[in-house]
Formats: sequence, C-alpha cells, structure tokens
Amino acid sequence: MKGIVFTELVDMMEDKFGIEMVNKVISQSNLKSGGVYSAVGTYDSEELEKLVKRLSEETKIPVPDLVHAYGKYFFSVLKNNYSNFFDKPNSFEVLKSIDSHIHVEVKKLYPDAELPKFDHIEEGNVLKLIYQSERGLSLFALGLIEKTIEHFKEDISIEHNVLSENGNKAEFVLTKNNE
Amino acid sequence: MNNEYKKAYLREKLARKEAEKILEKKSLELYTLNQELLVANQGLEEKVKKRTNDLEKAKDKAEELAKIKSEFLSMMSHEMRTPLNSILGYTYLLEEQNMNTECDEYVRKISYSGKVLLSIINNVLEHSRLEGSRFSLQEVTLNLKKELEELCSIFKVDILKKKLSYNVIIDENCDEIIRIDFKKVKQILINVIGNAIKFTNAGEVKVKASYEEEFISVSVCDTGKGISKEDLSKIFEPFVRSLKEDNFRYEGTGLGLSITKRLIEVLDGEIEVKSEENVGTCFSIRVRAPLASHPLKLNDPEGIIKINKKLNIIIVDDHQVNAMLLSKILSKQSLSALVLNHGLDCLNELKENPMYDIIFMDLRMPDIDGIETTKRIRTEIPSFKGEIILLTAESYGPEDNYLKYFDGHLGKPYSIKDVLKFLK
Repeated sequence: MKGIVFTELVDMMEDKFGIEMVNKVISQSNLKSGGVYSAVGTYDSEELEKLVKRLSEETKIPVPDLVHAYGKYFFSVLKNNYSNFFDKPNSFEVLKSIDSHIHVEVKKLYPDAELPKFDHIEEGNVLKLIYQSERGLSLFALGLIEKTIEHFKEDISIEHNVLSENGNKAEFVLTKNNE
Repeated sequence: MNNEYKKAYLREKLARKEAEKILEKKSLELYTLNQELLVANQGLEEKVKKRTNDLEKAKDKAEELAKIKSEFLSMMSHEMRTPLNSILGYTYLLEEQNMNTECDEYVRKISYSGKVLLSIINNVLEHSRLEGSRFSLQEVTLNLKKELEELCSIFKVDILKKKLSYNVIIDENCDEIIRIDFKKVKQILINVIGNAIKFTNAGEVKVKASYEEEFISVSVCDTGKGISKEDLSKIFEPFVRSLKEDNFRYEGTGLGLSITKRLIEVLDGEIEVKSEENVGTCFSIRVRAPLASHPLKLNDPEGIIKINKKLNIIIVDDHQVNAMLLSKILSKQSLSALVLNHGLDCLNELKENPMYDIIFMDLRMPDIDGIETTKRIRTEIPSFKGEIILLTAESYGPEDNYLKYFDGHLGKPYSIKDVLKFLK
C-alpha cells in the first residue's frame, strides 16, 4: 500500500487526537516499519489495519467509523495536492473519471500503486459505482464520495451496499434528489 | 512534548513533505520523458519497419532481375547451341574426309574454336541453372581412388604440352566405395586443375587428395602467376576475371570459379584459396561423400560401339540443317533414317508403317511440338513399339517433367558417341 495512505493517517491522528496519541498507537502496534513512513514508499497494508485497530481501542471509536472518517479526511489531501482531479462540472463526472483519469494520474506518480477498481453505470439521475479492492476499504471510499458531493454542494443521496463477505466488493448507488 | 521539540518536529515533517513533493515532481518528469521515449521508439520502430519493407522490396526486385537474367542467359545459350550443333557436327564430318593438309588445318581450327565456344555456352548455361533451382544431385556409387586417378590423368596431355611437372598424390584412404554426384566433382576438379595448368607457364602443378570422415579433400597447388590480393576477394564472383592485361590472353567467361563454388556448396562442401603473386596459388576443396551402404554396381563400360543390326529410324526436326547432320552421322554407321520436318508428318508415317525402332524427336517445332507428337504416338499408334528420343538444345536434368514422355534425351550439340549410345 502506498505510503501516502499511512502518512495521512498519522497526520489525521495527530490533528484529531494529538501527537502523544500518535506515538502511543505507533509504539503499541508492533509495526514492521516501526511507523516510519514516507508518502513515496510502499508498506504492508496489514500495518494500516493494526494502526486503525489500535486507534479504535485507544479512542473507543469503532473501526468502521474510523475508516469512514479517514476517507473524509483524505478528500482534503487530494483536494489540496491534486486539485485538477476535481476540475469537473459535478461530482458524477469526478466519480466517473476515477479509473479513466484519477488512477491514470496516480499511476504516473506511483507506477507500482495497487488501486481499487471503480466501474460505473449511469441511468438518468442515478449513478451506480461498483467498488472492487483486495483491501476491503469501501467505507474509506464512501467517505471520499460523500466529501466529493459536499465539495460540489449537491443534493445526492447515497446507498452503500457491501456485496461480498470480506468487503472486497461493494456498490454505491447515488441518486440526485432535486431532479 | 515541549514547544521547542514540537517546532523541530513540525520543521522536519514539513521538510519530509517537501521532499515527497519533489520526488513526485521528478516521478512525473520521468513518466513524461518515458512517454516521449516510447513515442520516439515507436517512430524508430516504424522507420525500421519501413526500411525493412523497402529492403525486402529491393531484394525481391533484385531476385526477379536475377531470374530474368538467368532466363535470358539460358535462352541465349539454347539459341546458340542449335547452330553450334551444325557447326560442330559438320566439322566432324569434314574431319572424317581426306582433304589436303591446308584444309585439314582450317577444319581443325574451326573444330577447336567451336568446342571452346561450346564450353563457354555450357558454362553460361550451367551458371544460370545453378543460380536458379533447376539442378539436382545424381549420386552414384564408385571407387574414389580409381575415379580420381582417371580424372587426374586426363590433364597429362596439357601438362606435356606446357612442359610442366605434374605431381598427383592420391592417398590410400581414398580407396573406398562412396556415394556422390561425381559428375559435379569432375566439373569442380576439371575447372580448378584446368585453371592451374592454364595459368602456370613453368614449374609444377600438384594435386593431393585424401578421404577422411566422409569428406573428400583435394588441394590443387601451382607455381603459376598467382592472384593479386585485390582479385583474390572477388574470384568466386560471376563474370569476374583479373583485370591484368595479360589475362585476356586466356579464354574463358569468368564463370568457372563461380560455378565451382556453387557446385561445392551444392555438395555440402567448402573451398579456400591462398595465393601469392608470381609464386603460385593453392586451392583447397572439401566435399561431403558418405561411404556407400551397398556394394559397388559397375556401370556399363563405355567404349567403342559398333552397330551391327539394321535399324529403322525417323528424325523429326524442323531445323533441316540439324536433321541432315544427324542423318549423315547415322549414314556413317551404314544406317539410314527418314527425315521429317513436322510432328504431323511423323504421325501420318507411323499410321502407315509403325515398324520403326527409334524416333529422334525435336522439341520445338511448328504445328505440334515434340511432346504433343510423342503423346499422340503413344495413344493413337499402340502398334509402335520403338523408342522415342528427345532431341533438343535445351539443357535438361532428371527433374524436368518433359523427360517422362521420352525414352532418352539427346542434347545438342551432340557427339557421335552420344548418338551411338541410343543405337546399341
């Protein structure tokens, strides 16, 4: 998993819970990397699970909620560093371009990045996104989608259905409410 | 964490983020350069593809031109062999006459020049055959030592004439029964030994032969004028002759060594040459010849043939001069032949009287050609039980389909001996 996912998680922990919490979580998570992350590096995704689990234990916030919250937080990272991803007229256009544009650009920077797959079907005012990833982080994706819609100030309801037991496959049904 | 440490931590964190941004920027530059390289590479590949395509076209064109050239040479040779047949044949008949000494001398000179011309034409024809695909191996079983000794002995007259020393060493290991297309080996050695004698005016010609591990090795060394370094690299190219003035004293087409090399390649062999000007030249030849798996079956001994029986013969040839020549040759053996100029005349004659023993049939004739005439004889006149011999200036091998219709092939120009073979 690319290092930026780790560095930004550490930043979020620091922002929300303080540097002492970061040190505590890292030191108690028994990480192979020792918690030394760089955005351009690549690390075992198991470390992310350990960090989130440990943070959940420390903060008493359930893991799904933390992952969801991190997705929302990560939107700001993308917005600040890669604003061109959002140079589109609306959220549907941004979300439809995840595979065809955003991930292509990410691959330019990180050729070895393992990215989730987003298929889409658009019918009238409904956009269905099919998420597939070995990481099973569809809640992280949900956070990003919600923040994208919020960015465009649109009134869109989201239905999130996990399609496989391990969470590797999920669908998001997005319906524009004001049309 | 106290404030000072916090400041330092934030500073380091910002530095890391800055470094990461620089790295990302560099990654992007690298990606862009890589893409440009890919595009350039693609352009290069297209250029190479186009160049390869152009080269292939040029090669095809060159091959087509070479084919046209070979066909032209083959046709020209054929056209020349037809009249040459008459020249040589009638010269032979003249030589048989008892004329005065002066005329004898003129006839001998005509005969000699005719034979030289025939050899040149044969070389041109052979070259065009070898350049194309109209050749095949005709392997025979033979005793290598015996054949090599016989072959080397034919040069003794030329050696004596030039007062040269002739040293032939045929190793005992040549005393083996092998299988090889010896006609081609003969062509190779006649060419190389002939050249050695031709270009040596004093000293020695040495031929050394051995047979080891299924390969015949022959070296032919002379003390002749040698070949310059410049010429040495080109001697196996066709139509190449040394540009030195005195070389024009020697007859030849400049095809001999080119044919020799090609023949050696056909025999799965190789040829090497070493030479030093005014010292001599040494050719080393190796050709593959496996040991024969069956005992030697001797061919019919060639000798003087005497025709004791009366034969009924027809000559079918629209070229009247050549038809008359063959008729004259036969008359020398007290044989007479009916000369016909058209295939249809032959069919009519056989319908009337099928009791002929031999028909000499020309290939190219007006109305119906020799093949068509022969096919019709076979189907329309079953009572004809004789042999039909193809008579033509074309050069044929066993691979030619034409030959299946005939009982034999007599190529022009033919010698008396060639004709008599069919009359046995």
